[in-house]
Amino acid sequence: MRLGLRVVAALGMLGIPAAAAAQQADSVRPTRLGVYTAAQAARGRSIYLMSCASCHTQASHAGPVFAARWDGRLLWDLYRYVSELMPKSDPGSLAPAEYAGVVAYLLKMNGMPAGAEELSSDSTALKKVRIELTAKRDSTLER
Amino acid sequence: MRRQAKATNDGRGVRGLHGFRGALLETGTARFLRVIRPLRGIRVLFLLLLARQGNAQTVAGARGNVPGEWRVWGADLWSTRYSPLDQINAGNFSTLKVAWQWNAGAFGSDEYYRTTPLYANRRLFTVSTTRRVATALDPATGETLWMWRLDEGIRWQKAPRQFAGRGLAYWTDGKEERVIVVTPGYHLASLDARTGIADPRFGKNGVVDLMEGLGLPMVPLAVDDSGPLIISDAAPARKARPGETWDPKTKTGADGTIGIDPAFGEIANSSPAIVVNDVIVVGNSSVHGYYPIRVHNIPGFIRGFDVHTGRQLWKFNLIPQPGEYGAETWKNGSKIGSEGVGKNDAWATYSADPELGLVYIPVGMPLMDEYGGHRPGDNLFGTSLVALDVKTGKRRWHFQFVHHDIWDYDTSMSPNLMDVTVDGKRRKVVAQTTKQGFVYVLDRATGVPVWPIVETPVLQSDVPGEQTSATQPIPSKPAPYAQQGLQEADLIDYTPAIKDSALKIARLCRMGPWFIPGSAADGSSKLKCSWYAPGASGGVNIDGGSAVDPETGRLYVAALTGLNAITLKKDPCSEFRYSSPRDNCGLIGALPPPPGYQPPADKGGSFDDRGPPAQIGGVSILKPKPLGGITGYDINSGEKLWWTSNGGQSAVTTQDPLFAGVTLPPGSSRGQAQVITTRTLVIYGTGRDGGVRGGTPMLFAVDKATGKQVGAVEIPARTTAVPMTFMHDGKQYIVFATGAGESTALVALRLP
Repeated sequence: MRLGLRVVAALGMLGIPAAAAAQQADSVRPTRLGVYTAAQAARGRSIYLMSCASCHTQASHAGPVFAARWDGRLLWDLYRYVSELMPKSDPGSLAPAEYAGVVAYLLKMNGMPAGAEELSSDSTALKKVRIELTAKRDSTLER
Repeated sequence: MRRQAKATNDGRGVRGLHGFRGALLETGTARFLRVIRPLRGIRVLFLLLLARQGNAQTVAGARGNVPGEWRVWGADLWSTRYSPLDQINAGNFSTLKVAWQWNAGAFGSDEYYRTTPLYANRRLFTVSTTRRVATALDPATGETLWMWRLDEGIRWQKAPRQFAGRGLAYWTDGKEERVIVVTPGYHLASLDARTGIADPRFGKNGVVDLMEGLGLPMVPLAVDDSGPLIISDAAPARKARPGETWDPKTKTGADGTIGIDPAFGEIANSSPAIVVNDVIVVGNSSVHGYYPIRVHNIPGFIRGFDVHTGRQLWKFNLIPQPGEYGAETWKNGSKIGSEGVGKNDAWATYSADPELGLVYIPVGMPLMDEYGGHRPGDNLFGTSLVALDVKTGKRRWHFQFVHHDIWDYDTSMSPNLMDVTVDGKRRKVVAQTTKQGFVYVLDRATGVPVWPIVETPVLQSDVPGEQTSATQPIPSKPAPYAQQGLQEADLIDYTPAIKDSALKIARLCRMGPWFIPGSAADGSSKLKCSWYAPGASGGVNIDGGSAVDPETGRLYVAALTGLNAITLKKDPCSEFRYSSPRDNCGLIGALPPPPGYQPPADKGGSFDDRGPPAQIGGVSILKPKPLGGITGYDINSGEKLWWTSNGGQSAVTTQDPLFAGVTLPPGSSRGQAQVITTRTLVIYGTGRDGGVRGGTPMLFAVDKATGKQVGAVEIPARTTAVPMTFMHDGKQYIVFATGAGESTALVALRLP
């Protein structure tokens, strides 16, 4: 039974919509409320420059390029994508906290404000955050 | 059907040069080292006196380095990364202390700091920051002696390789000394090593514009404030309109900078030049090839320049132009600007044998990384090693490691030159370590394989328009150092249920023993993805690579081993029929969206882009193997001697109940180690991604014969480039780069 579920999940990763995306809407908060800390994003930037930037410059992961791929999706989707498939040649080789740092930096690069609490690498917590870029010009939220 | 792979050479005097004189010099060098060894106390002074008395090359012997110094990126022209020093040894390695730290980040930001400095004639030379600032340091204190940088305007802003670069070249005739810099905006500068002042006799005021002399039109460039290039070639530089001038208010317009007409593409540099027999040999790098928009780009070139004047002596086309040798391997034509023509850039570092008068050029792949449908043919000199006559730039021989490369298997490291004894016969060989996980050992005068390299039938692509090579050359020896493809026997099988689960995931993508062609996700391929091992970063890549023990003929290979999946898609706003999944629509330089274009419903970023993760509950579906890490080879026999992980292996844990009751072995080695050798040690840093997850940054020493760890010392941050070592005022130093962003630094270690 476990096997069956696992293969269904893997097939879902190949484009078949996964039930995992269905979350309770009322418990989901947007990234513009500040879901990482400035210190975490700074650490994440170092990791990004160290492990990601030689293939992915900041310009290729900010602004419309990022928005087209991720706006409106759960942060878990982004975290899972990065942590299971990156770095390309050795996926999964970073520590969970390092992946969370990279995701925090990606949010910072895309104008999402820092907050008081660090972004967790826990899947349950990440499924309760939605990437919302469209309201990023709200200056009260940026602070 | 099998045929023996062969290097191709013109046969012009090859054997005449492969001879007695070189052997004599080598013997002389070895004897010199043996004589001075008992005189350790006065050795440095003795060497320095010799170095200052005229011809340093003679002192250095055939390898072009003074013992105890580090005059070339790879230690010497043979790229041995070897030093005969032994003040730091197994007995005291763990007592090493930080002597000084030079904070490069104070001068500007960078990606990760990928530079290996040089030590020559009592000075340390490095580059740093995205501007590639050349700097001389006091080796004893880290004090800055001089700095030099070039303001390259829009040429820098649009440079595809905006980082410090891998280093510099050094030249001396015993009287004058020069530091040779290649900038991100593609200029070549010759600086006085004592002062940092550009040599007024070289080029124009010390600088040669490398965009000139390629036969491509130079035009005024304009600034649109569109920022840096977006990978691969979106937001490119723009040719200035007639009469356009600089607007200081908007900071846009033509600022007087000229460069190659952007219609031809981009050109860049990331590695230092090499100076051989008074000739500066320079190549170039290119844009990334993941998801380019334009189906042509500037090809790779190798050029020779007079070290005294900067005059261009010769040019060799790494994509042979119509009528040149190899042009027939481009079935749709090879003319610059044609569909499918681009790259084949030799972006890595080079090696040379000054006695043979040959420079060895490891060449990258053609445009683009995972789809070759626009460039049918073997695509010479892509993914090859090319030996050029350093005086004339003529090809002496070449060996292509991957025909019609669709795996991003750029030859990514300067080859290691070695003298070894094979079957009782002394041989001058070149060992090329590669992303594809093989060491190719060739006679370095002729390019003929030392052990058979067999053209072997390989899987064929089912992606529309792709014409894969029927065979690829597979070395019969030495055995590979990284995972090859994915087959059932490679999968974890701790329990039948685990094996079954791993197999089900494995079968989602195309499997095979090696060189598995990519699959298209649009339904035209049998499967949506293909397994990829070694992946695009290697095997061996520029961050890691290999080091030689010239005294024993051993080769130490630091490599990555991993597994991922690749899949191809059509980017609706690119000229390519397929590329790595990407939607470039809306970016500057992209094609207009086709009629009826709709942004992808899932907005991309799904797992459909990359195939499934090769993991179950965080556990790799690959059995842990003694691959990656560091492999010791005996190149006299072609046999593996030992293997060690890169700074230890991380424990593997999972919450997945499938693994309940199973004791999981530690995972395979992470990252690419960064290895050098000394008289008694193999010394390595773990690199930016290596070592135990979350572990303390360390520098390690292992026994050269066994690979057993004999020393380890904590360092301020993980190494980000291969270290180097030298003797200065009687003290041996180890210096390495660390950090990224604004925290880049050089760290020097010495004994207390």
